[in-house]
Amino acid sequence: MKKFFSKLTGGADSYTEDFPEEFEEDYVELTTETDVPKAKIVVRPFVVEDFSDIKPALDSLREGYTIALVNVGPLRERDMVELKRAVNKLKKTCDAIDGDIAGFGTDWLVITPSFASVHRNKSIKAFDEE
Amino acid sequence: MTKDSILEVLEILAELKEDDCVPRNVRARISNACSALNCKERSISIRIDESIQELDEVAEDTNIPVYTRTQLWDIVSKLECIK
Repeated sequence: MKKFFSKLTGGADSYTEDFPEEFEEDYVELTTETDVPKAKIVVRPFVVEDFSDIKPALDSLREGYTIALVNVGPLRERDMVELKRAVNKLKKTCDAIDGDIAGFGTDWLVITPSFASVHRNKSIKAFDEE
Repeated sequence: MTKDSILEVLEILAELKEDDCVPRNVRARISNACSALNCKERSISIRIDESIQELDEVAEDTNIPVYTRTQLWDIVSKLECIK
């Protein structure tokens, strides 16, 4: 009976006895905070399903440290007029921050602040001219 | 020149903010546009762009009086000229 109670009350102590000594004291405490400094420039994707969804993209572009990758595919499928409005708004903000805007395929737009620009191939220009 | 134009716009916006005929939510958004225009930390073009977009959205509100909407359009065109 005494053994039974000691097992119940000192359960934790008896548990540690099972470990070898090398594991008892030397341990590494892991924290959730990382020591890696936060990057200054952020490449951030945005999905635009509705006209109002462009607001977070515009806000982060105005901060000046975000390269925005905007997926306008869902809005294109829903409403072309709204898409044109959204792209116009993005263009205006891009002009205000003196940045660059370009489309990748039919669904993606990239918008950069003033310190970056989008490389344009000659072959793409030729394609546009045709 | 730019500063004078902005001050002029701010004056009109201040009048609109005090207008009791304008709904409260619209006045709050006009106040946002004012603070965006006053934010000294950002460049003038970004401030103007932000306030234009805010006012554009406000002008689409169905509850605002017609003459207030006209005033808002006037302000937006003034801001676009500064740009």
